[in-house]
Amino acid sequence: MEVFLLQVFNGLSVSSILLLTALGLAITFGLMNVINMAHGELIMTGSYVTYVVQMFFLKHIAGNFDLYYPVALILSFFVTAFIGFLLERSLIRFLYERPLDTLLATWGVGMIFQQIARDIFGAPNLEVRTPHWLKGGVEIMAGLQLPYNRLFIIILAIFCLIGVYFYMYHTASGCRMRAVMQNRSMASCLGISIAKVDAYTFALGSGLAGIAGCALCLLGPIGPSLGTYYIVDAFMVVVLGGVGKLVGIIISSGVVGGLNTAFEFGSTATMGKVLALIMVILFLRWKPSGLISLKVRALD
Amino acid sequence: MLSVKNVSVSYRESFVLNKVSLQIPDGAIVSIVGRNGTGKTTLLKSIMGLLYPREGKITLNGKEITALSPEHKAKCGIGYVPQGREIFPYLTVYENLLVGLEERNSHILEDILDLFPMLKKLLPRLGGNLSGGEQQQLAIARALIRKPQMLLLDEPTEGIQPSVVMEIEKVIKLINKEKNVTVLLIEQYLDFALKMADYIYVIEKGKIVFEGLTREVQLEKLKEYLVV
Repeated sequence: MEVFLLQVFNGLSVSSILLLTALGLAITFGLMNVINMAHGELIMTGSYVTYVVQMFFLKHIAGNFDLYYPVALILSFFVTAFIGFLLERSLIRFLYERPLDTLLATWGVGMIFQQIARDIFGAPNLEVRTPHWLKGGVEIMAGLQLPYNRLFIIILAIFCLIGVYFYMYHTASGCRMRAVMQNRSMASCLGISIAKVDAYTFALGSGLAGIAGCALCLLGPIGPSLGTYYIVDAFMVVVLGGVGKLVGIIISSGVVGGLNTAFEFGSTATMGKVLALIMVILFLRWKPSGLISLKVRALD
Repeated sequence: MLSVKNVSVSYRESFVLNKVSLQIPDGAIVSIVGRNGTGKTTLLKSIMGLLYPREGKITLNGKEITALSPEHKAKCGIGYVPQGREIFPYLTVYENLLVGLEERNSHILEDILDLFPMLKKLLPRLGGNLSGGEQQQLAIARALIRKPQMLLLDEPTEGIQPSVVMEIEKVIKLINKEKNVTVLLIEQYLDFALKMADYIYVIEKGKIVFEGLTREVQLEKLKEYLVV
């Protein structure tokens, strides 16, 4: 029984991490069609922002050290969003007509980011201290302890998801964003500033990557190549989920996370990943557009 | 008053419009008729800013707007209803209507729903799931909700059943008369154009070949240009 519950919890935890890392990509890749290979490095940026905030608190406000994490969470969103904004204005906006070129360009940007991180912080991994209130866990029954940091990431993922959903479907600017993604020229004929919408949308996707990076600090040390571990999974989740709807990536991160932990049980972590990937590939052979594909009457 | 002066548009080497000039006085309904492929839609798109003329000048109330982007032209008060409607398929009807407004408020929406009462019960549906006639009315409503001083309509009767065509005719005449919205109507359906317009232009091979007041036009002469 404990083993089963632990497996379920682990599945949920892995799913929530996948969801968090893929949510930004669902916007930049899923909605904007930018094959954003720099997404991993934007996650990494978020992690380093968290590290810097931590160091600042240690040096100057050591008494309130535990407060550093909420501050880091907010800052990692805004700093990464701002970097995403600059990236869109200076590079990506010239490439909307050429999606394949976005792959090469953003990959290059990713490498530059990695090198910058190495130059500033050094190549070795750095430790970000988990704040006190996220240490330990709740003991549900004997032999079954749910760590606070994992629970926190699950809640954070749900919170981000609700935030994005609310923004996209219940605000005027989210509505403009969806309009621009569906029909750019018509949107501009209605007086919508497509350049502004593009920049803000990319900034939002980047900012979410920053939050993911901040969350990953709770799980282990961070390094310049942190993003590369997550980028493949993030793309897998977005492609499997199908483009354009949030429900798709909720289900697909659940499925991939669940499969990962299920296959891992009784084999190794690597085998678990391989088997999950094979399942995803088979599924995509059968349904190339992913789990949720949008369908409405075609426009004539 | 919108005036188009010697506008030429080309797709690479081939000219689609060749020194086209026309004038649309405030409060008028002007129609451009012509066969397929004569450059009607190209003309409308270059007025809207979706295509840029190679030469020539477009002015609105004396101000040159030739090189403005569609976004800025929309802000100058030009509303555009494209051929094929171009409704946002995954936005609801409600969102389709309000997406272009800087400030949402409920009585603007009510005014529009009074003009198009059939949209009322469709508000929560996705734009892409509407029928052609419903989409056409939505497209006109979406342009009108921004309170344009000028409306560009690209074949609003294309593929639409007669009763809806009558509905559209009624609305266009109403907003022209009551809100003094200037209308530029592109049509292949001659009867509709004659019924609507005060002034008519015939375009052929990218050139204006005939123009005149609708009530003075000799039908036989007009038909010569349009019969295949």
